[in-house]
Amino acid sequence: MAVTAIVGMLIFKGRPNRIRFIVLAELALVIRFIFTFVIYSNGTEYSGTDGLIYHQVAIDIADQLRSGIPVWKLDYEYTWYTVLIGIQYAVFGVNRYAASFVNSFVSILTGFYITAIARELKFKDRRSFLTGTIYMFIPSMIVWTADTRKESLIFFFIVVIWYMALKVIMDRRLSAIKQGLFIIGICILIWLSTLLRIYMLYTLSGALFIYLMLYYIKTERKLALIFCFIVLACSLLINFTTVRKNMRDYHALSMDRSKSGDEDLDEELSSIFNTIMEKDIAASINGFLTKPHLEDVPYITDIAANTMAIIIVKIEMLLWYLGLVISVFGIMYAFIRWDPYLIGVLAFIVSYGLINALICEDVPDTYYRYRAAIIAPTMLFVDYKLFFRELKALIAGNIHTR
Amino acid sequence: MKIKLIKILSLMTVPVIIIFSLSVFCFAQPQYGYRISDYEVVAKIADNGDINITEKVKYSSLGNNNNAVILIDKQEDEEIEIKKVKILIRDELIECEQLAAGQWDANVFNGTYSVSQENNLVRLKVYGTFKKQQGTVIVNYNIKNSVKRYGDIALFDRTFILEDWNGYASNIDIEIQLPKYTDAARVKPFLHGVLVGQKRVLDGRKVKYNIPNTVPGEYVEARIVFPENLIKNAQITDSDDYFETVIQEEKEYSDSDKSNLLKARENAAKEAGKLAWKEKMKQRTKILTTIISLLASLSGLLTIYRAQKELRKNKETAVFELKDIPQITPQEAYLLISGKTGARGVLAGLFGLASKGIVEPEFILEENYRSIIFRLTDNQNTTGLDASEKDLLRLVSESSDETGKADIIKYAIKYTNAGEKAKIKEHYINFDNNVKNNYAKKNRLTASQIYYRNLGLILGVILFAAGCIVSVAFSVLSAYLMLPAGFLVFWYSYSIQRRTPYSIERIKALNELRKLLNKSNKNEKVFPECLTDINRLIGLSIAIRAENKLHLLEGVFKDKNIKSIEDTLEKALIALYNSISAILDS
Repeated sequence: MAVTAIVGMLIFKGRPNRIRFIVLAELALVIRFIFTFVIYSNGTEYSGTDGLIYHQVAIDIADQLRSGIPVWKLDYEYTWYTVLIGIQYAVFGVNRYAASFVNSFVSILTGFYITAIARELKFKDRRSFLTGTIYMFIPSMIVWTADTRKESLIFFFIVVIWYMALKVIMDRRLSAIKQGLFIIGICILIWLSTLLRIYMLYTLSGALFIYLMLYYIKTERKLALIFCFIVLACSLLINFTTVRKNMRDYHALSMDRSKSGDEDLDEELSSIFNTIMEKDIAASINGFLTKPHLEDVPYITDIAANTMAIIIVKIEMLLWYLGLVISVFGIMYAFIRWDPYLIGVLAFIVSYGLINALICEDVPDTYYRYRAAIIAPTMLFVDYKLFFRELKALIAGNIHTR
Repeated sequence: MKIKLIKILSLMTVPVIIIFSLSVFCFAQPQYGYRISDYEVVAKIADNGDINITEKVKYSSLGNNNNAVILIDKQEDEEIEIKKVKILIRDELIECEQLAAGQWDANVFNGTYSVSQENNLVRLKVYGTFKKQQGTVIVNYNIKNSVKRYGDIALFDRTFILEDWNGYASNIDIEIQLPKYTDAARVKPFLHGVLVGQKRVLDGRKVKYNIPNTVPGEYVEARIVFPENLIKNAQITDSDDYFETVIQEEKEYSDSDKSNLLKARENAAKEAGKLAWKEKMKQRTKILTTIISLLASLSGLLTIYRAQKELRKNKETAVFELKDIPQITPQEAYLLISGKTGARGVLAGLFGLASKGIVEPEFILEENYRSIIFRLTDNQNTTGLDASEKDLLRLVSESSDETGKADIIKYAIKYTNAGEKAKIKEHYINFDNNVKNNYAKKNRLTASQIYYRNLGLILGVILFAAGCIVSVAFSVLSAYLMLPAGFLVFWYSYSIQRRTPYSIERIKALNELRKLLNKSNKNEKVFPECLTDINRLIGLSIAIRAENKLHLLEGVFKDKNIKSIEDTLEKALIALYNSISAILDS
């Protein structure tokens, strides 16, 4: 909690209302801690099996590390996240609570960085802090980030990548060395994100490409071109190494699991392709963006018969729908301003959404969890006022059309 | 009339959006939740009051493909121990392993289960690879201290389908076996929670319950009173007699209006009707929204067509040729070409100012240092200058040194303090506004054109919003067509000023100039007299992005190192780009 406060003070140095914001962040952290105790008091999982499985794999990894096996020779299952908690277990001892607390801290840090992005985009202080506060208190976000799941880290990587990409371009005070370090940092985070969810490579590098190219077209700054080239080169490298190697192990794809594990990559791709072709694309997009629908909520297996949880999820869904509708105007405003950064973020949201809509199982709770990764970026668009003010001024002739 | 139409359209935007948003809930895909097609229970009561229960649950809809949930009723003082969990996969029963510390099984979907103890229930979650959201789960568990022993009777009381479960179940068969045979007349079964269901004492040992189906809000509670000596090894719950209390409770239950159960049935019937209606409406809505989406997209394109037609009127009065180019400033030329001012506009404008003799450019083409210096001339008569040119002049005079010279690259790079930045920002914004104002004044839209612009803007917004919302809410692929259509209409209307005859003619003339500059054959290059001024030519070439083609004009730039000039211009543009974007970002 002290670290959270210190990091908050450093990120929002000199900003008004920062104390209130950091107090709220601490509260969000405490809620996560309490939730961790509640879910583990049952002795087993609460929100799906992933958290428990990763914990068990991490114990195995910690044993490997203690027996002298170096990190790069570790035998691990499912996801690289298990290596990370395995290292933690090896150093500090096996403690699932501690691993969850780290996740909670990372989640609050994500809230800080999404606020920092809003600040860098020149949003008003109030709106920036509100964005971060809402993000930290979203109930489902608390659930996904208080367990030993990889979600917390994924959300963090996404937000930090976009934060660094914004800093490299917008912060003119950054020295060339720092710019270089940030770009390298982005490439490393893209690689790590790919290890966590295989398709992140395409969504992140594609969206960064759009951002940087639009920025270059708009300003002709060579830095954007260099940045773009490095990201693309790095993405190609990751594509031909990490992606090919990990394709088989990617267990989130809804393919026939009854087959044994010796299918080759072509079969794997054809399995994915078949899954996609069987889908009603429009219904899948609906599913990804809007499920669980209000009438589905009581049937989510983890909260069935839990009236309070059902009410909370229903309220969250209603607010999410409202946010989605409002963000349509935020998107239009980004287009009117031809803001390369926000258009890039939008490209990320669209590509991530489309991939998940097409490959995820058509199950409300699966969509619910996978969608969580786009909540933070989407919040940057949740503002209708700016667009309508611009539209009104355009129609009244107070500002010039192009 | 037209303005009224626009007002109506504007007012329509909000309700249209609200209706579309609500439709997300109205026409969402129907979800059927859990459905159990067969539910068989065998409960064996031991003489110590414990119960061993085996439940066989066949799901016709799980709501997903990888797990099934069974909620087990848990009363105070009871202890529930899951003994065995099996799932039926391809006609084969697979025994599941419990997910708990030390029992990790890497292949979780091959049959595992987890158990969570909650306040008044145990949540058993079984993981497996289920097909088409269907599956069969068999669970065997023990309950300690379940049957209560009183002075006169023993009481079995368990709920098998929980009230909060929210699913549908059919063919419920529950068999309860007493520890040993007794007089059937002394066994009294009761059934709560459903309006229709049978209970029978079979042979003095077995009690059978058959319930055809349950709906959300109903529950199945089996209550059996039997002689207390059948569980002689059980702890005594209360030594007082309890039979009369049970009979009284049952009478109260029997006499109650059971409005909650009637309501549950009513709700289920309504729900079924609603689902059928939704399904029907979904089909109709899909067809309707497809037609509306196509028509709406078409109306967007029609608006563009009509606006285009409107813009073509009076085209002949706006003729503008190569020789007329000097009528426009280089910054306006750049605005016409690109829609913005920016660094190019500033540099082009400075050369434009030089062509009017107000400033004099000087290229520094030294080995180590290249730059452009603008020096204020003695002629400072600003009467012929427009507002944007005056802004540029102000910028030069404020950035010049004591000798009246302003080094454009040095000045662009050196921006240091916040006060200086704010000043330059203000000048730049004024310059930008004045260029656009001046252009707008000369390129005034007619009332009809304004009408189509506003119509396009509003229609664009509605189409774009509808494209986002309708396509998702109604799951209609063709509705996505409204997205590009809306974007196109909005963008067209937003940039309508660049499509007027005034703009088109000028852009055409500027493109002609670019072609002329790009011609490598010197003999083919015939510039009008008014375009032979070097500074004007440099200014215009910057505006039309042809400053790197100056070397093709050797005849004009006699005795000058044209290549170096081109390089210096590029360097100056980069410095100005960086400077302006940094200032605007601050």
